[in-house]
Amino acid sequence: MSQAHRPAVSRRNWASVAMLMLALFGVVLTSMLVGSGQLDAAHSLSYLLSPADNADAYVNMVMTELRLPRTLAGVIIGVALGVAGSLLQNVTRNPLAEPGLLGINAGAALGVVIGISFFHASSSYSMLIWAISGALVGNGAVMLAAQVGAASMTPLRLVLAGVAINAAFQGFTSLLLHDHIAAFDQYRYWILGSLSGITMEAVGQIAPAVLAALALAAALTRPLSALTLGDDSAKALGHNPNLIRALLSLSITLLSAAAVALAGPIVLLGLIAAYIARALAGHHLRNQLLYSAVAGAFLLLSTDILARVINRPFEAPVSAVVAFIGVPIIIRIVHSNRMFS
Amino acid sequence: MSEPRLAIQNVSLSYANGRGGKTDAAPTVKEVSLQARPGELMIIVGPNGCGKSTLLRAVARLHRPDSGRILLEGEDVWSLSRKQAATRLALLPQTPTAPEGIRVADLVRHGRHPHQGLFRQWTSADEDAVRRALLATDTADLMDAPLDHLSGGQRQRCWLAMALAQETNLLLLDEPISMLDLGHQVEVLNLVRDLSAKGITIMMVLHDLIAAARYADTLTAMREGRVVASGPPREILTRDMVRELYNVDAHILSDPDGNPVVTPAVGGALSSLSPSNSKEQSYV
Repeated sequence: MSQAHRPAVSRRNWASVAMLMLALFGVVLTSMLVGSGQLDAAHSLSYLLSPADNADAYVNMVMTELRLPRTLAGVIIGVALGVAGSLLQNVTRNPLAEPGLLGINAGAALGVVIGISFFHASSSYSMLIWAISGALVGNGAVMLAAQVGAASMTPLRLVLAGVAINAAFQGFTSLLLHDHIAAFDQYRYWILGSLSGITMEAVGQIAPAVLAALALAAALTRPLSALTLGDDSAKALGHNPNLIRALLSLSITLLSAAAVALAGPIVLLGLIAAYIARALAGHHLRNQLLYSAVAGAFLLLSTDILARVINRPFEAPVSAVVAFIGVPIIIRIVHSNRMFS
Repeated sequence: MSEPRLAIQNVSLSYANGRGGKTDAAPTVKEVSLQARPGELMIIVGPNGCGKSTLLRAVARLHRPDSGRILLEGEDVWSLSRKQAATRLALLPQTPTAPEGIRVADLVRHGRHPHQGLFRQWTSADEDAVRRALLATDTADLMDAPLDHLSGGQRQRCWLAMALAQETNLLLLDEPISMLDLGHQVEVLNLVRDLSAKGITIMMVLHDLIAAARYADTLTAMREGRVVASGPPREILTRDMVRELYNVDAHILSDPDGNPVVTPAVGGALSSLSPSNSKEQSYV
């Protein structure tokens, strides 16, 4: 049987995955070499090549406590948001869907504000817990609202429920911030969305959740592919559409909640990564997920590097840089997709 | 004769059950009993809302009957797991949707899902099944083409290939030709007849009484949820039956092969007989 009959990732695909991986390695390296502070790339490189010869405490601190966790967090968050975006766009059949739609960002924001206002949360770990709990509640509320009174949850119901719940949560958040002036400062920093200040400890706390969610996503690839053929076809192929959607939203929620807990809301990244993945991989779902993972990590890290240097010695919030880059891409999606014409 | 492949025993169901409390005139099925042999092509006809699609969807396990049983080779289809069922009966829904840009081969490969497990990957048996399905539907040449570049008839053949790749003994088709022009209708119906000749039992819902009479081994007529007649077309297709189903006055002619041909008499609508059906006549 010829190679063309095999459903495996083709050679051309492996070549482009390899290219992307190479590009990702490039930005990972750059991320370790470039910062907004005083440590220049040459010194950083010599540290990376032989850490033992560079006993300088400052260099050591910058490299292991600032740049390493930041780079790792960039990869993890990028992969998480990219895969979450791709899953969500396929399950809602909407090329502009992104995790914010599921109530995750609004829920996490409300969680953080409640934590700050009423429980004086300030450590990164407690912010993490508040953000994840809020994200889960927000997502639960969206799922519930989408499900009420319906035999099955259609993509449109999900979108409408998402819009409604997001608005309600944002309203609560504003209300709380209005009454708790002290919380506002801390919240403002969190809501900007940034990779700076992420500790190795926080990365370690979040990574298992991301890995579990990615494993779940991998197991759901085939059922999701059947679901894109419509509920009737998916059922006729032996799948359970509502179960698939529930498990998918669990995976998407874990991925996006982990990201928002670590870095605050970084909107549009998942959408852009999923778009790039679709452009590169076509409709083939497994390839799409693979590409969106790598593209997400690459995009986030490269925009984060940009965020470190465009306003030296200050940092720009990476979420703002992502948003600027995202706008032309969204306009292009709308332009090229017949769904919107 | 051996036991029937498909036996529908006294099945009743009302569609409204699964639909969040909607109580408008939903099509229901009332006490329907039917049987189909291996290789039989059964075509169900009837006016809009007669319950023919609902019955098909019950057999496909998309709606659970309120009462009665649906036996496939002696086993209740509702006693099977989702996966088991999908290896024994396949469905082509009325308006299947596919993601933009999907290629024919990738679509057809979905038909192997019920034979695969979480860790059971693609095997040569899967590959062979897909190839046989592509050959049987004459779509092997289209394998690498995007589905949305094909004609309506070609697309429908590809969807049939996906259902065939499930390798089931029972194939359920919900109005597979309703969106096609005459040439493509014949293309799909000839394929369906060939498949039944290979031993697959096919239950198909059709809108087109003329095509149904031409192709069916067994023509089943439904009205208001009940079967009003079922049998070989040339035995059951009568002027009275057409009038009972559609409130249309028609002539039943014979084609050169002896198959019945229905031609509605001009001005033959009997709208005064049943006001409840007056809306539906315009579609017939």
